Amino acid sequence: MDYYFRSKTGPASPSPAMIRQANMRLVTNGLSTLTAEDGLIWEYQPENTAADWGEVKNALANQAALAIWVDDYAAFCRDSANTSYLAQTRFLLVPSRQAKRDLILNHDVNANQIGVRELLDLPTNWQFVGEPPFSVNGHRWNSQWPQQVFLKQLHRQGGWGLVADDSGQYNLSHSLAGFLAAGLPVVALRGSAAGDFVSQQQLGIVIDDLAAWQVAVAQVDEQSYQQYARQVTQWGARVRQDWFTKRALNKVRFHCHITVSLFADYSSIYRPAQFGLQVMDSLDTASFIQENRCSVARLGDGEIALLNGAGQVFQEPDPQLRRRLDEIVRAGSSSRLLVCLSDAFHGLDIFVPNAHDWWAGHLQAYAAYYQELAGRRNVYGNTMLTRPYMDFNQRQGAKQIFAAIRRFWQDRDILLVEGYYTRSGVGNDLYANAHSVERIICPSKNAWSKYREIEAAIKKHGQGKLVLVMLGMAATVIAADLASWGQVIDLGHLDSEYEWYQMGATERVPLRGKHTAEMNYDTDIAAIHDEEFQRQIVANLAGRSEE
Amino acid sequence: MTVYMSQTAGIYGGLISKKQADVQQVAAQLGSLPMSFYYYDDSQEPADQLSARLDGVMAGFSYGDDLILQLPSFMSLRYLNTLVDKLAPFRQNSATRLLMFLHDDLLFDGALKKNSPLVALLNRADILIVNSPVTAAFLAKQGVHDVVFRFFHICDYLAPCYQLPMSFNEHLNLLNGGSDIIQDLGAAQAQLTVYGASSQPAHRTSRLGLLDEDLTYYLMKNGGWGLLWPQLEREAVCSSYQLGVFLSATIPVIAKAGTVEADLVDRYHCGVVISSLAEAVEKVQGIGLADYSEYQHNAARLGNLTRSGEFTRNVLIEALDVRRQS
Repeated sequence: MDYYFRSKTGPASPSPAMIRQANMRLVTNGLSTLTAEDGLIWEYQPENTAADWGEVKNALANQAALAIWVDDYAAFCRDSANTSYLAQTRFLLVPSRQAKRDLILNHDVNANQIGVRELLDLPTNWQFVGEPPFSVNGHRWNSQWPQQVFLKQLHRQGGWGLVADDSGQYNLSHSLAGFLAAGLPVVALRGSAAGDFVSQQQLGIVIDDLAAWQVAVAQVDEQSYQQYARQVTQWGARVRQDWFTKRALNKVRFHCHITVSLFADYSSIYRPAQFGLQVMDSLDTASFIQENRCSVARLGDGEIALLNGAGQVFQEPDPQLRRRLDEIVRAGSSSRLLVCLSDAFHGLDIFVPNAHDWWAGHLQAYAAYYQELAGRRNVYGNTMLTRPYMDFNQRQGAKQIFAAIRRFWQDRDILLVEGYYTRSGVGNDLYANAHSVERIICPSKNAWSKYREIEAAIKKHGQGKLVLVMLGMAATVIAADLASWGQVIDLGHLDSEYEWYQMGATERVPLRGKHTAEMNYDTDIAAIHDEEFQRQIVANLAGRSEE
Repeated sequence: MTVYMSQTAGIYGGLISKKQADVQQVAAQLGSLPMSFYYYDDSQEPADQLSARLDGVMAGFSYGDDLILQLPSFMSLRYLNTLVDKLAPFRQNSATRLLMFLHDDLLFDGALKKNSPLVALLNRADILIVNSPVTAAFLAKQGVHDVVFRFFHICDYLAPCYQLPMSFNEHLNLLNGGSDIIQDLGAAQAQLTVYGASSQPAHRTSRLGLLDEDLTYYLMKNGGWGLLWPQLEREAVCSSYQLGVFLSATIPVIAKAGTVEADLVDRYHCGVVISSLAEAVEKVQGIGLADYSEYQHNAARLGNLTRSGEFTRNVLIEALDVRRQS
């Protein structure tokens, strides 16, 4: 069995030495000797001709394992002739997480068949000690200089790297790799793959117009700059060691022949749990959502009780709702939709006494149902992700979880879909790191009765945005139904928990002017006069009677 | 950002040493450097002397570097804990991570009990590399929490690639089998070859063991099937090494239902899963050439990976890719 890397050597191609190091044979011309045991890693380049694609056809005819390596994802997707091979491809290596998401959502490729290169490399023996000096200088990448000399100069001068090459929404940036190698925090363009990576990994700042970089960097203090620089140091060291190319080559070769479970890397599901259920802890749940950019449907105690026939304060029983909830929880999770249960299955000692007793009763009442679910061997996320504070004995863990949740909307446009009194984020900084916030206001009770209007409004106003739904049980179904349309997260209870966490509350207290989870049942809630809040409302489906 | 991997010298460590050397060889291809321990009895060694010794062992280690500790290591827990203590400043002040690569032999260590000192050592890792999620669940039951697991799924067995024709027959090949399995198979009139056995009259025996470089050649030549029949509960969790040997020899496998390996055999169609030894004999007698060829073909495909260390390489890359939670 041999592995062939078929390349015409483009600007982002792995070097021949790297290919050899990964035990592959570099092939630049035609391939004629492929057998069923061999693996072909075929590098897509825009200038590839029909004859080049003919080699892919031959490889497939010989039943060789085919992997496609894509550096220019935008060009790859422009021509449907390219994407027509996706169904026969064992593995795809794409430049960025955005490209991966696009493949999952628009080309129906399974998430565990896609690898992400993440960054380009800039191999060099040069190393540095310490962070670069804080300054408001901005540097553009200059490929005319000898690379090592330029890196040293950048590091010595400090300041910011301006990621100005036009790598677009999907492709990787050479200058980003260069600045990281030099240890410099960067300024990147929002909406680009580089911008997304920078914002996600906290490697610098992301702005709408690079021409305004001076204004943006002037607002960053020295402490924040050094924090960015520390993050950059970690990533830069790997860029200088060719790590991302090495990793990509190994990944693509391994997955030519082996497919592993989508959930294999989330350790917490392997901890023994009651009924034998596989449920992630909150941090793994957050990581999975961040990694897969998936939608999230939560089924807490209320949903489980309702689908087993019990009534609820905010939602009247409805046979259709009950059936839909049952379908969702039985179907389990995928790369597009993470279905969550409340993780009371790893022991109740983590809860405060009231919650402990509540969950003990709940688990006893619905043991048969959970037992049956466990038999389906699904993997579930944890609904407790959005309520990490009040019910727990050890509340200090909430800080890390809130930080992980807030990363979901870092520099993104979000659409909140909430009950009339929910007013999520009003009076606190929960969504302060989002790029923009808009709201659809819905009935505070029985939102399920307006389910179709709500879904239509989300599709109208939420295109390309992260949609956060806080509508009780209706939110669960909406998130599941729209999972293949976009990213929709059922985020119930988060606002109340965040408020309590910020005030250091030790027991539930009502929140002024808004819905409070399991407290005020949306009665006697005062009106608010917040211009910003009013401006964010793009649709009101609550009706006049809610006034 | 150098990655160091431990290995123990100064002792004839048998199979464990071979496993360590194989993993080390794959890690070296990825750019890792060895951190060598020299085996000795440290029980009488004063603490300051041990500390000074480990300062020397770790002399090359720097901020941001990672250490992959291979276990079992033959070194004492005191030695290993002192080493991990010395990593503390690096882990506090930089992105340095401590990874532990757990060979299946560790699971048979009597010291691996619930909340034991060995479990405490495992809990000091950032990332544990084990064969499968079942092992992770087993370790969690012993009290291993708050670590990230990565899985190699099938244990590699580095071996040369021999070009021999497929040998379709009803032979069962057994590695290091206990006498009761051999007796049961004898009663079922199996054609059995036992490897690594001293003497088992009435059956073909081979003194070749897992340490013999030519083992895969003889297995291929003998043909037939590899038999995975764990007898202990813990063996059911981790006989991945024996699976790796059979795959490297490109012979299909008969695995006991309910074991981790049965799952893999089923998923990759590289053999059959059975519930009793009598069923094993019955199965091999009933399988025709066409089915055997398909199983053998799939075993050979996986064998290409186990012979060259692909599963180890993949898990090391996956594990080194895990960033520490700040």
